[in-house]
Amino acid sequence: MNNAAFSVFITSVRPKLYRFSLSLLKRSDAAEDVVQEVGLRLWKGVHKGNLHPHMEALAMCTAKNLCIDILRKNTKIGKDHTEKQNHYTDPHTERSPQLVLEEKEMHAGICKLIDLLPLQQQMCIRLRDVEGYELEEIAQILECEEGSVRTNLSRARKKIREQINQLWNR
Amino acid sequence: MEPINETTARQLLERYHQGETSLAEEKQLSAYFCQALLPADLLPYRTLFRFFRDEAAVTPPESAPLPKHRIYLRIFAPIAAAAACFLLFFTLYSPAQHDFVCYQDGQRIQDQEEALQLAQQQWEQMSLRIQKATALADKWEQMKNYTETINKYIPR
Repeated sequence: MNNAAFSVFITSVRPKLYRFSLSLLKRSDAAEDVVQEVGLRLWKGVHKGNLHPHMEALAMCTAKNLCIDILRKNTKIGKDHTEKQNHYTDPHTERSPQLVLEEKEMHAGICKLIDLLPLQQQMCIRLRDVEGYELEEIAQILECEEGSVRTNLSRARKKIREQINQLWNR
Repeated sequence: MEPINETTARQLLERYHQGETSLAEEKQLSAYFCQALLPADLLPYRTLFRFFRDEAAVTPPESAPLPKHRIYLRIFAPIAAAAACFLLFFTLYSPAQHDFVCYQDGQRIQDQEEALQLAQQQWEQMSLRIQKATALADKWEQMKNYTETINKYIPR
């Protein structure tokens, strides 16, 4: 992989790395640091001639490991949900302000529901439903079996279904 | 991607919760739930699928270029720090300060043994001179007392 190919690859994978890191760390500066570190590690690996057959999965896996390291080091990180929730913007401006407000609250509620899931389930649902990875790719990223990914995904979705129905009917 | 009806959506939703849907089917579900009109019991899923769609649209902030003074700082700060450390080290731990140096009659002596011998000799000489001076001072005191006694009894 030459410089130009690496540049194209990292540009394409950067938003995914950022979103995934942000979802786990809840801080944009920390997420950016992770993205930068992943880029640096991959670059060093490529220069040494370590070409992985699934570079994107390797990048996401490296980001996951870095995020877990940060979460372990600093337990306080992850308590600040406010910054991340500001990304929500309503694309349907013609709706009533009350409806928009309700949807915003629901959006924040869903974010909290996902954050309350076990880390493995959180990562499965984000990688599948937000990033749109195949189960096989998620298994590579999370370094586990495909069956385990399916189980975690199903459990996470069912938990969210229960919680979201309660939230909606409240 | 074909739009789906309510019955298909409900079937797919059940499979979705089992983790058995493909990515294409999940896209169909997302498109269905993000539409304007939905049955009341399916409304919560609209929020869920919109949440996923909005999350997928989050992009990293563009990395702003560094101001010039920060670039200079980045380049020169490590150099200045290294130079300061170098100077500090050679000021505190200079090998020249650990060499033994003394001067004898304007001559520089760097050998410690030789300097020690010279110092001992000087000390002995000084001790002798002090002894001689003390003896002279005693004699001087005696002479003074003697002169005073003579002057007292034999007035001029």
